[in-house]
Amino acid sequence: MNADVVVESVSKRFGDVVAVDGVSFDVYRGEIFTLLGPSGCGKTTTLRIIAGLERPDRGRVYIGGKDVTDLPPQKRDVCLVFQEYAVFPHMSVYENIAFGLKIRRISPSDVGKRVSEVAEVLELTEHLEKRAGRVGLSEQQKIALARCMVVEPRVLLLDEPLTLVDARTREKMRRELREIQRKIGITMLYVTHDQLEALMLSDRIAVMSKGKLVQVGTPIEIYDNPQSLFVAQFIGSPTMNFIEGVLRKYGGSFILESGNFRIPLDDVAKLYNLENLMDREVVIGFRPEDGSIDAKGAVEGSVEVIEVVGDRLALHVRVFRDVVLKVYTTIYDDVVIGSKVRLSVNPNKVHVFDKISGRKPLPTGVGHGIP
Amino acid sequence: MAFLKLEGISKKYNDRFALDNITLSVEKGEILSIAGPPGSGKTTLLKIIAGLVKPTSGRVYVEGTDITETPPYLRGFSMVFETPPVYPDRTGYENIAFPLRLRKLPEDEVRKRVYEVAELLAIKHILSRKPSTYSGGEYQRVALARALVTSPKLLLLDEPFRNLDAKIREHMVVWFKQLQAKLGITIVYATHDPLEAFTIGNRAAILLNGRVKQYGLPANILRNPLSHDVDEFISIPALNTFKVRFRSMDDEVLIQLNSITIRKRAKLNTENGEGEAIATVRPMDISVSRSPGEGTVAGRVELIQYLGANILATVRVGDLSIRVVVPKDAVIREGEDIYLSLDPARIRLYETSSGRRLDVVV
Repeated sequence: MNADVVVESVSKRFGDVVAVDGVSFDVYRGEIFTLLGPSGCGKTTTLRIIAGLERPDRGRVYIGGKDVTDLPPQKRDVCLVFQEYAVFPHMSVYENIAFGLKIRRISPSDVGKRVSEVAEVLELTEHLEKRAGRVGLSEQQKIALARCMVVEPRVLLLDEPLTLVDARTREKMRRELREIQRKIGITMLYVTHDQLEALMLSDRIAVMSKGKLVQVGTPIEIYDNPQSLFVAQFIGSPTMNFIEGVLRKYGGSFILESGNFRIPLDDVAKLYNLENLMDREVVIGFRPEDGSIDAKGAVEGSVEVIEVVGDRLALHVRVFRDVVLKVYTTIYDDVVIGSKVRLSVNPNKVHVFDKISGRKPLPTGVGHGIP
Repeated sequence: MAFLKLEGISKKYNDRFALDNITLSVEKGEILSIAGPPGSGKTTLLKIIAGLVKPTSGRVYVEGTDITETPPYLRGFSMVFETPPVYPDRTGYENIAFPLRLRKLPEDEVRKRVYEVAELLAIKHILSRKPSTYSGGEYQRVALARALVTSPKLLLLDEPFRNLDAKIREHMVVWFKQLQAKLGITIVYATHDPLEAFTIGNRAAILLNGRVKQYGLPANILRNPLSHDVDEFISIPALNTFKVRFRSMDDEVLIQLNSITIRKRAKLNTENGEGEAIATVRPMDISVSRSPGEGTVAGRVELIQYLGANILATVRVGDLSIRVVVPKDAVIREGEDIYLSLDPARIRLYETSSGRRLDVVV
């Protein structure tokens, strides 16, 4: 596949702080690639290095196959859409969009043609004559986007463009952004700290933590097959269920010892090579949707909190003194706080992590439900 | 008798109703959530309960006693705002002890109460630290501790977790609900997030443009919104909303959505036997299959968005764009032809002009 952006072993320090630490990845042509991580993980610095606003201490950046590490921003064939849309409120929407072309000295007839083409794609045509300060946030974001699109860069860079809008508009804009990208097929490199946004928008996600890239994959891979405890905890809302304990083997059977409880892990042992974790502290985890209320389930607990999550209910069930597990029911199910339920878990969807290193043991290669 | 009762509360600012004839009650030990978008009047309502704002008309009762004219400091309530003021130069201990010091309580009593509440809110570790060292969650808990330390009769919370990061907020909401079981205190909790309101509240009121549009058990509001604006406000991910034509026949309604005909068992709460209406259906209430079946509608998947546990798909059916939610392991791809089935029982009808609910289950 064609890589529009190649980041090769890039590092950047600010004083004593290593902001970006040996990061490498490729962004393929026509995909939305997202850098995701909590604040301070190095995602924005990485984006700024690609844009040419920061110089890396080490490593190279290639755009369209060309080494651009030493080139200024305007010679890199990229355009950056900022968090604050930087729309000129007193200028018309048309003038705002044309702005980037005029400073590039494109002929007026070409300017008109490009602006109307882009406005058409972004459904801004009816707003072109309005003052930019008079249109809604969703339109302002499109103006910022349009201003980049008319320049026809190889790659669009977006730095948390949706953080300033309310939840309802955000949902709409996430859909629109993806629709637009599908329509024009441009390569987008997107930065966000919001895991749901990354899942909803991206073709692929790179999760960053403490300056390092910790996992790259499609949304479903990142969500359903996290390679570390960090990714497992960071992705998903409500969060994954976790149970901590010590891994033991009794008479050939794997057991998680958690307080006074013993949880059999033989099904999990079919998926992962657990020998190296023997007698170590481990964390097992599963997503709420991979467990269920089941009259024949192995553990019993009482419903402590009923959390309404969109169109489902997450039941928080206390199964041991220190362990609360979440499972979903529909909003049409009758559940009351305090009621007793039994739970079962799909063993193919249970994850194991070394508590200290946070790493996942190697798979045995037997069907893990990952596409 | 209800612990707190609001009767016909209205508040006018310059001829504009900020609150319009609000009647609500809260039982002792219950949480009443008030959910509404910014500007809907939540904060004004809390301030009227606290006594910080005088209503233009209407009365406030506590255990049957009219307190409308009682000044705030004699009401024995506590209030926590979205951005609670915590003194930056004082330790956690001093911040929490502050309202007790104002009451000139003896030092050993102050100490006892501060430790009790810190234990309950799991913040003993920050008692000797200053606010600049707190995490967002700790900061809100200190503010909450300060409100609780006086053992108020009623706690008023105005979006207490709004400024927290999504992840921490989710944790705090669940934590707070667990805490309430131990506190047993009566709470009015305002939030812009209907899901948070439903999770926290024993009962919830939906406040839109200064009016209570629906009030009751969270499960009932969630399953059975009574007006289109409530349905839109509480449904996440966003609803499918369609213009339809209907025809009413005995215990059945024929719903015509473009070329799709749906038969729904229901009576209509209108004199008109036929006409136009708004129909809504949640993305979760539409199921998807790869082969046609009875009553299915053919469509093409235009867009796929992963939500984690689920996938949100936008499906093109003729002129319509329909959003559906399918489980994460459903194999569904952009550009693929699929078949939708809309469960008639989950389709709601609203009057176009007023937005009021039309269909009644038979």
